[in-house]
Amino acid sequence: MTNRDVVVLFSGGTDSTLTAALVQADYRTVHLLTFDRLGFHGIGNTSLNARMLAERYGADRFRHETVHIGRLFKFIAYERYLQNLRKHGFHLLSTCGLCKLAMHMRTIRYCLEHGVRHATDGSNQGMSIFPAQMRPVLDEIRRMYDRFGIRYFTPVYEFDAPDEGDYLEQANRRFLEAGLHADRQPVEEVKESKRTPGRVLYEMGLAPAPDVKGTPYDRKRQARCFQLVLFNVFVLKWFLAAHSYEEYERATVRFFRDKIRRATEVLEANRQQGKYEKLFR
Amino acid sequence: MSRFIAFFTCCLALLLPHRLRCWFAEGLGWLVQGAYFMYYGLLNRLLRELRDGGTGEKGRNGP
Repeated sequence: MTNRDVVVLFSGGTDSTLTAALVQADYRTVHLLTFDRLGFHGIGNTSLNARMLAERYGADRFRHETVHIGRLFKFIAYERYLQNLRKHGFHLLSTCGLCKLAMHMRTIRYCLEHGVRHATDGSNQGMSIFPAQMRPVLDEIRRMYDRFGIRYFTPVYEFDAPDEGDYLEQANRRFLEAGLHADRQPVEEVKESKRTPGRVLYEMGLAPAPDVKGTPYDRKRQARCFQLVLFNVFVLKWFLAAHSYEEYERATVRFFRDKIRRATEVLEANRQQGKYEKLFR
Repeated sequence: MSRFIAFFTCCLALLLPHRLRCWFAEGLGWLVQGAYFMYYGLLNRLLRELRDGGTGEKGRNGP
């Protein structure tokens, strides 16, 4: 049992890589935990940034492990289905948030197994459309960790969001500027210096440019999941087409409060009576 | 119209069991990915033509 270990939920992307790089200063061993399930692609890509961190800060200080969450995700998405359907409707399609909740459940189990008392991830305020990165949902998740004596924290949450505008808009701008003004200095160099996770990673010498998020460089270093399109259809094309963000946040928090309560019950039952063991394999 | 399509898509997804929903979402994801590739392919071609036109050079694919 040690307080000098920390678990990082590690996708290999900018935010989780920066999180690992920041917390390594305060811990002896950093456990990089990558998750796999049906529909995740390029899990092997995550080892690139894991190796980079190990080379920079010491190979003996980083442990990179991949764990499966397929059964947990299925359970948390479908438990008490009709009851939840009546109460929360289309919010049952908040697949990205439910998937992240399954990751947190698996992380708690990992922490209990390995005697780790601290866990963290790369949640950032700029992605607040995703349920597990909304502040009130994060507070609920933090309470869930507390129940098991684990401290959960998010060191890059307050960092600036990378860019205004949606993904397509950003990609268009990058594409157009690079295409029409090939003789100019790179776009990243002339952008205002917001303190984004990408910029800090660049300043630490762990990324080739301050804004690699969403670029081919970034994509080749992290796991990918195309299933988020269904979540986007529900949120952007259905819910937010007729409601405000505040209404969306309220409904999401209500839904996830129920789900987190259920997740806590399952974890408690597993710890005390060994129930639901199959879900964690 | 797009809200109607979203409603239909969500209703269908809600009816599906876990594995089928994953495949359904995966299919949607690849469909969108394919649309992005086509969009950028076309944009790339247009930009090349614009650049070549601006510098007075001949385009790669024609006079």
